[in-house]
Amino acid sequence: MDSVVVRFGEKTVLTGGYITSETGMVTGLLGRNGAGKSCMFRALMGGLRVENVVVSIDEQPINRQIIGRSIKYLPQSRLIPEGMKLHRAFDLYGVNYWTFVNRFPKFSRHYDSPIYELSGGEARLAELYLVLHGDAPFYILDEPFTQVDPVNIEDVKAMIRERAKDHGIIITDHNYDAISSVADNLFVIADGYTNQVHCREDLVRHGYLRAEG
Amino acid sequence: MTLLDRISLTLRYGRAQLLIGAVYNLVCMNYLLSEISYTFFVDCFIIKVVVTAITLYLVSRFRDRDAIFFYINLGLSRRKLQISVILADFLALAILLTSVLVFHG
Repeated sequence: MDSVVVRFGEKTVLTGGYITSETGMVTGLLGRNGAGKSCMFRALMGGLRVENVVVSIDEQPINRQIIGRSIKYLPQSRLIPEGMKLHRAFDLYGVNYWTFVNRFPKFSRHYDSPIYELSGGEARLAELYLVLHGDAPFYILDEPFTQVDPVNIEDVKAMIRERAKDHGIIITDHNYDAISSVADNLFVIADGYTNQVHCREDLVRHGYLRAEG
Repeated sequence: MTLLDRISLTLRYGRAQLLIGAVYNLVCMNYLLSEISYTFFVDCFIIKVVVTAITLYLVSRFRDRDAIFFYINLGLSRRKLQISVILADFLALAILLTSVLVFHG
């Protein structure tokens, strides 16, 4: 994904948004609040009209009308439509509900539950599993650790690592420790541009972390 | 994904818009039943265009901005969904009003 330009009226959010992902790798995207991380993902998926965006897989531009077949996206807020039953969402995404229950047994009682009957954390976990097991070569996860119980965070990280074996995953979250422990490479958005992160000092330089001591 | 799944997803996506459209269509049908007139038939469609534009604007203002991604992940685009909903709404109006005109000569 390259050359992303996002403007809201007079305000320019992104001028040189760029990110890349490879099969077998987890790419972490960092940035302060309002830096444009979610805007970039929403623009990529066609949920936000932007001035310019180029999306390609293996250097071939992809048809953005059917981008969901190549990239599955977990947005920041609720994914599954209000009122839809959990098993129906799994059926539509072609994901086996009972394999999910094997991993998270507490969901056995939610097979027939509409999404609004689940707590925020439960819904997040179900949606994360749904996206990560949907049929696509790439996944983008926007704040996957938000609302998830601390006891489940390790499960989520393990699931991301598992799926990254034969998929490309881009992930962003404010839980810096979780991101840095799961990501193979890191980018940071600052002043409208994406910059690759090689060491902790890069994050300090771009204003994402405070200098220690 | 089957054709039935696509139709059901389109109806779910455009539920609010179709509901407002259905109320408008029924009001038009009721007026046409009380006074059969070709001019009124045409007026219904002209006003429908304006009502649809306003509904579209209002629905998009109040809809959760991320609600679209469930559909996009399934390979459905916002444009296709929106066009399908508008077509279904206009088709319903056309069928209702034409049947009134046909049955009342």
